[in-house]
Amino acid sequence: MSTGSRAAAWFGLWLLTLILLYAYVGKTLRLSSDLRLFLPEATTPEQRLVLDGIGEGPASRLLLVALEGPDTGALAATSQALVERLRGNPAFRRVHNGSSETVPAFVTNYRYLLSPAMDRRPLDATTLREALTDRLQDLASPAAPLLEPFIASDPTLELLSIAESWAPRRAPQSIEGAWFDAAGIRALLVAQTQAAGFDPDGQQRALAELESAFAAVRADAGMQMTISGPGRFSALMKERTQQEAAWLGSGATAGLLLLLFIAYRRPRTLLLAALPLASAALAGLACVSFVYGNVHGITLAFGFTLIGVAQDYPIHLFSHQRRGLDPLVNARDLWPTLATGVASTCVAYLAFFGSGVTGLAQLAWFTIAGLAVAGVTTRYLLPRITGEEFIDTAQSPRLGRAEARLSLPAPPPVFYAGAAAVCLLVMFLAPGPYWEDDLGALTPVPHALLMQDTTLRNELGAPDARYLAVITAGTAERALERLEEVTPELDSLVAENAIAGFDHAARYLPSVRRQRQRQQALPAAAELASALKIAQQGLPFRADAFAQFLADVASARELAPLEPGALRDTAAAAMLDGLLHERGSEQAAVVAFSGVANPERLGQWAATAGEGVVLIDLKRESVALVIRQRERILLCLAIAAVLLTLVVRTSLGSWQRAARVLAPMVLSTLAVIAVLRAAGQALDLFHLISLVLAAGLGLDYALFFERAGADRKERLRTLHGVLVCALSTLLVFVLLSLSSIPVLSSIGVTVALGVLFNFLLALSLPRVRTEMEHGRH
Amino acid sequence: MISGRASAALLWLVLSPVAAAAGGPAQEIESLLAALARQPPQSIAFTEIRSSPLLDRVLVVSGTLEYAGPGKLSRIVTVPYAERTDIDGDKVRIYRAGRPERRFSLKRAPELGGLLTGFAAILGGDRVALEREFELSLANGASWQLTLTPRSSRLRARVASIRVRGADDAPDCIVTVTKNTGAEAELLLGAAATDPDIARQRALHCVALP
Repeated sequence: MSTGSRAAAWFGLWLLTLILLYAYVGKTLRLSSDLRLFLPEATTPEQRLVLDGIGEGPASRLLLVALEGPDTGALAATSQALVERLRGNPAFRRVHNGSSETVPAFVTNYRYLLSPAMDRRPLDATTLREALTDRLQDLASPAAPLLEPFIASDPTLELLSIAESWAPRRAPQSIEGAWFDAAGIRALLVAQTQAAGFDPDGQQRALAELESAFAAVRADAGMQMTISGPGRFSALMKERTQQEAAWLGSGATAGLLLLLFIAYRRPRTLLLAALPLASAALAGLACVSFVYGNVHGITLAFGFTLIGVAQDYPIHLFSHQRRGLDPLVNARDLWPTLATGVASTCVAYLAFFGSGVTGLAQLAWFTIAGLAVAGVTTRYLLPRITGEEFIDTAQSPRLGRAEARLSLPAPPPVFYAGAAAVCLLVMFLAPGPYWEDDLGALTPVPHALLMQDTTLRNELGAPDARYLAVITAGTAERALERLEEVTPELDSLVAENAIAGFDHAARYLPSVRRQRQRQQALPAAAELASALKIAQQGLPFRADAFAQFLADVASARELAPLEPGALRDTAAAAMLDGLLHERGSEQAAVVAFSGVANPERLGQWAATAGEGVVLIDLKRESVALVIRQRERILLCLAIAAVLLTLVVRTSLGSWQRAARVLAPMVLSTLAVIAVLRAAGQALDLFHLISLVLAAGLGLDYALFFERAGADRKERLRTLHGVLVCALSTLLVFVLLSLSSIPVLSSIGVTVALGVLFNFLLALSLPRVRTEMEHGRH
Repeated sequence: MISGRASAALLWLVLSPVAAAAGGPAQEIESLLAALARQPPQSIAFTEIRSSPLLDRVLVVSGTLEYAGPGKLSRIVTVPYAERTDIDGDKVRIYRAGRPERRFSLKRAPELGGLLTGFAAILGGDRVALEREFELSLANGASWQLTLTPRSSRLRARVASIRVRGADDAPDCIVTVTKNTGAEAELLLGAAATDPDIARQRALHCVALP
């Protein structure tokens, strides 16, 4: 078989493998956008609640809507029309604007079981007498047209008691039946989406429905709608990330192709250079797909960034390739260095396995599998298909001149010590918070939008998002009973002004126990009839005026009490949503507080409220969660650093050489952190990942320069390779740093700085004759 | 029925002196309305007689109506018990001793919104604006009778008609007939409201003119 046909056969085989991998990935992989994959696993009930609150909780499903226009009346009418149009839309659980919401139909039948007033008095002659006297005055009052239709069947007005107990404690002002902001300029609505807050696709669909409904019902074309809330943000960020990734990606690809063409002057090289990266990507995806079955969007975006290192592998190979050198020999010569680079980078990513974060573990699988495959591709496939026709980069006079200019003198060890000390000093003395503890920073939202969200949230009187109590119980019934038990204590907290109000599931759905108590307290038909007769004496009501009331009480005595399951798909389910939910084999009931004025008093209550009651300071918990996650990742990174050092030491054979190679990487990492800190940046998870990436790149540079040692030709070839690597990496990450999305731009800045520092320090490595050189000559 | 809100609105009519009009029906109404336009604050005694299908006899309460300016009206009941209703813009509040305050929005009772709009027009002597909400007809005899029939289906679903009777420059009785329950409410005003012989006053002032 000729060299050419053998190359073709190898290439064909490889291509077939890639196609099979692609088919596997396409069949099994599901893309997930649940942000919680990137959050640490919760170990305490408090933390679980914090995580539930992100993405799945009722707060994350709320879209806040504001309508603006010159005419208040038109705004109110449009608000109403919007609510009516979206009623029953599958994208929304509930859309409301404060217009008198009709009490769900089932409530009418169950009023004697649901009304809190039933606990205060029995349905006896005294109660009825008092009620009838009041109703008589109601009939002679301006409220008569509202109440008259109910009086015959509900003389004690239990429906009114229920409606009052369900009403929001603090609602925005109502103008012409619709909610408005305090200034009376913007009409306000709240839409609860079916999709979770961090399901950007579902949120996008809901937003589209909202927009088209608005376009259909708005009173005039000048009317504007503003939408805010977590769902809006996640849809917006997805859209923007996709847009920016698209233009950054095409820019980077074009630049990379141009750079490779200038470097090698061979169109075929462009195709070959892409092979390891393409293999890495597919192998990484297949690996994650095999282990997890789904991959997070962030894993994917980051993963592709991180395996970008693989783009360097063929470059090193090509820059050392020249006529007369068998590519297989070339690959074998470079392999120890390349393999050390691959292995140490993989070791660094091992740290993410220990992070306890699914998303990061996915990232580790993806990157390690990808880089290993890219290394193998570069070592075993590329040499078989590249051919020898490369210009020896060592012969280039321009590169020679560049080498002379770029060869920095090797600094003495004291330089490293001094520079490291300066960096450490800057790192610790720079003002501002050292770490980003805000969980919200994971999904960065433009500041202006956040401000708008805060304003709308305040206007709508959303409950205090910081304090919550959770009551855990074995069954929903038990949880509701516990809520009823603590309610009197909560009422006294309100009376003491420690809190302004509270909300929990038992407000809407009493426990079966409580419903049974009320049911048992209902008088039998004959008893009620005689009590009513006594109560009616001397009052001008017709003798048969309350026949419907007698019939309704009789049937209420026979009803099966309402349970949470029976409410599914009713308007009441939306109210219970988020206040009572299953957690594993248990049920968690949430008590939401509003206007917490005295958190300490609240803490005292929780401490004495009995079994299963936990008060949660969401802010403190989320900060604790982030800190714990970071500490764990830092510990893992420290372990990885030790392992990496051992790998390099083993590969290079001496501590001295290992120190020489590792010093630039360590100093560069410190320098990048120092620059970021000096610029006032608080460090977060993304910075850490970026630093690992930059360190991996830098280690490769140092390894290759160290390998070249004092051999001028090898130095020139290495310089060529590293120059192409560093320039291509800089190109990609400088472009990334221009992104308007904070995460992308901070990754761009971090990696670009890291590459720059690593490159400069690698250039200044001392030119020591190595054993490898002896072997080569 | 006559709700407090209806009576509130009608007060504007009531508080204005009425001049006997001459000429065609349109001009007669025009001059009646022109004479009704008046400045707040005003107050007047009332006796309200209300029936309901739930009751086998009428309810009678009396007290004072106080009009404080556009959108602001109080209905103060003194006999047989104390009760105060304040209407301020969209908000209605009812206070009764020993009972929690009852609040509701004017919007929850559509008839009142229409009535207020209508009577804001009366207060300005604006027949055109009034006729947007109601069909008007005037009957004259020994006393006059202005009948308002709602035009909007929303209001018509609740209120069949409102009949205002008066003599010379004073209205004596307003009768509101509701649609859904067929309940009727009569509001005696001024001197007619202070006479203890209610039956006589009703026969005198509240019966519809032919």
